[in-house]
Amino acid sequence: MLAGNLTLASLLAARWVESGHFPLSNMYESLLFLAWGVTGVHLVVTERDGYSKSAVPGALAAPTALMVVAGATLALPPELQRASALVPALKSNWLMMHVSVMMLSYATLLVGSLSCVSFLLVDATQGFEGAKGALGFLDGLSEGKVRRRNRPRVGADGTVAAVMDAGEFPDDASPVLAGADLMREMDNLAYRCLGAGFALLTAGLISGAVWANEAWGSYWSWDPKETWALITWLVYATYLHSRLVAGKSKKEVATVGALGFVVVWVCYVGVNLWGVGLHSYGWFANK
Amino acid sequence: KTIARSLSSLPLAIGEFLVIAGFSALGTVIEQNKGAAWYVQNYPVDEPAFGFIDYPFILNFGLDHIYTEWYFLALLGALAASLTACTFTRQLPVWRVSADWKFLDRPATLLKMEESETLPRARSSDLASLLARRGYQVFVKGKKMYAFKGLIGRLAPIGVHAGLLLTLGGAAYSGLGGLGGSVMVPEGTEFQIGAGLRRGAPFAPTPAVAKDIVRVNDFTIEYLPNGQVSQFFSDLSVVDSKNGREIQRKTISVNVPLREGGVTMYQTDWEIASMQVRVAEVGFKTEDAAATSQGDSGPAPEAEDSATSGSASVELPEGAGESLSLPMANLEGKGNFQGRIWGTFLPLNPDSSDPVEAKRGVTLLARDFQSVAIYASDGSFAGVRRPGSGRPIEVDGLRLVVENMKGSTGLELKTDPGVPWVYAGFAGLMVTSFLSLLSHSQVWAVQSEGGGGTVLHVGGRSNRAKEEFKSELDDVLNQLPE
Repeated sequence: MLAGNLTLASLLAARWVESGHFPLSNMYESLLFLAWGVTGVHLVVTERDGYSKSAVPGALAAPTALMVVAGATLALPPELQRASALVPALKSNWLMMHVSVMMLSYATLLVGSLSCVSFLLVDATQGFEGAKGALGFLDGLSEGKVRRRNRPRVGADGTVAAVMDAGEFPDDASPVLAGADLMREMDNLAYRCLGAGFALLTAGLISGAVWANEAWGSYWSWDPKETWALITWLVYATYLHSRLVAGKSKKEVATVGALGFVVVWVCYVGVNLWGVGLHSYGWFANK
Repeated sequence: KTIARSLSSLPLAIGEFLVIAGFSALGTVIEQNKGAAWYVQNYPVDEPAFGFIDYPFILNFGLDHIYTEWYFLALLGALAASLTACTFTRQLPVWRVSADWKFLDRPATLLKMEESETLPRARSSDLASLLARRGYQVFVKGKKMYAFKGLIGRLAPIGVHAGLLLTLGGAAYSGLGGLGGSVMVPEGTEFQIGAGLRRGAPFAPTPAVAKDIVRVNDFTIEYLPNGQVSQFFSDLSVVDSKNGREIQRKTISVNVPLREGGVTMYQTDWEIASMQVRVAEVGFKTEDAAATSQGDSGPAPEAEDSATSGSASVELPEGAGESLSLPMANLEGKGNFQGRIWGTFLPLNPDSSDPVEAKRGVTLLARDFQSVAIYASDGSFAGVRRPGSGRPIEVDGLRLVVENMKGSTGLELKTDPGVPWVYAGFAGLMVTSFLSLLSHSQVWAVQSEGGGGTVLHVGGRSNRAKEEFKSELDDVLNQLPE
């Protein structure tokens, strides 16, 4: 993941130097930026203390990043991959701010939604012994940090449950995170990721609106891209609010989060493919 | 009170999110504001989409302008009502409750919390200082301790709701109090500001500056070497209608508008307005032309061959011929024309009595200011010329020089009183949505006697960052000296 992240970073930097503008002006560049974002977010959430040590999020995030890069390189026609000059509408300092925040929010939301998918996957496999074994194998592969205890477990009345000397306490965290523990971690990871992604999406929507007002005099024109970004925002607001509804199971909440994955892609790529509206820079010839 | 309670219900709010999302999505699938004829053509009654979506369905339910239809606006209003109700009935009380800090003194209560532990020989004073170093606010009373941090994370969502309400309110104010419009102004001419402010609610206030005039001094398109557009520039002067004095002069471009008296003018569109050509009939000779053509050993230049003819021998002398200014028509979408294209027509014998002959002429087409394509009256392609190059073309017995093209600048004008409120809402939202990520963590501790010595019971919880909190508390307890 780290190697992928660094390679993408250098590629983007090289394009920046060569074209003279921030590397986020066409579909190719934004896809690469997204892949960099997905790998980056994954690294951040797995390296931070307290976040999941399980390999399951990475098992979903890495292929996603790979597919993004593959799509960008193999599916886009070569003319669209070339670094080219900016059209007048993009000649603004807002370009860096708005588009990068939006792409970062997509990356974060995608990783968070994938965590929801992880939750649902683990939940679905709870009945299968083989799945537990597979999860154990995956976890063995990841060099996760293990939480260390240096204190004995003590009962409420002060009696010591196990007699040990200070230097001999075993590592407490079990390496095989399966079942309920893993699901709790996935749920929490998803919550934190999607919370951050939601805040970034809010910032992206706002910066887009302010830029639109400076460029076209309207901070909101119900352009398909704007509208789908709002729809994405509403779907993730649904996720965040569903967590608070008494009686909503974690599984239902995770389903909402997982569906968000599709919504982000419709917003990011689907709208551009339709070729209508103010955001149709990349695919079909625009007038 | 009960209305407020039911308005603030979470399932209702979630329902509102999803219904608004659904209608918004519908508006992206069914193209909006296209004019009734477009829907008749694309959603015919005999082949309805999904078996029931035909143009009567769309037009009757207002699906061609969903975002301004009454039911959509009502949905937004319902969302605003829910936001308001929620803020007052649920969130503000949370403020009062979470700001209260209270000590707990029964170990059993602590040990039931999400994170809890009993440590022998530990002291609450040590715990207090460890927590303080990690940014907690710590309170100690005898054998009891309470610490918290990140309270702002519990209060920020209230700010998010408030920010949303400000934004929605400002947008409503924009819709009701704003004016706007667009103008297409040939360079060298002027327009009255009020002419560009015709769209809006009837009671929206007209700004004083609407009486004043804007003169378009110049309109230029800057091109890149590969022919792509680099930027559009309009040199504008705002002139006081009372005394003709220039109030402001600015060259605007995309992303750089002009602001005067509450009105903002944006560069949004352009057209080719007219073409200036100089025309002379072939056979027009000056002494210079006659002399050089005698010495010319190559084949005599012909109309169809003008692209490759030696231009030096057919140079149109300065000032010769008739100078004409031909207005250009927008041909986009007409017939087989794709993309932006303008054309003009130079009739050869407009005064002829024969109607067919009167309509015979040379066609000139241009997609931008860089080049003009010329076609003879029989429809054959005659050649391409760059305006201002001075190089003539021979077509239909005429020698023609494309001298210049004049453009029109398309400006969008707006007044928007709601913008300050919307921007205030935006600023609030930016800050509070990030602050909402902070987790409100709380730790309680009780020192008691038991098991042959002093024992410390610790309990804690965090509302968002549960895993991080578990880790943090683990670290703190690991560091606790015993």
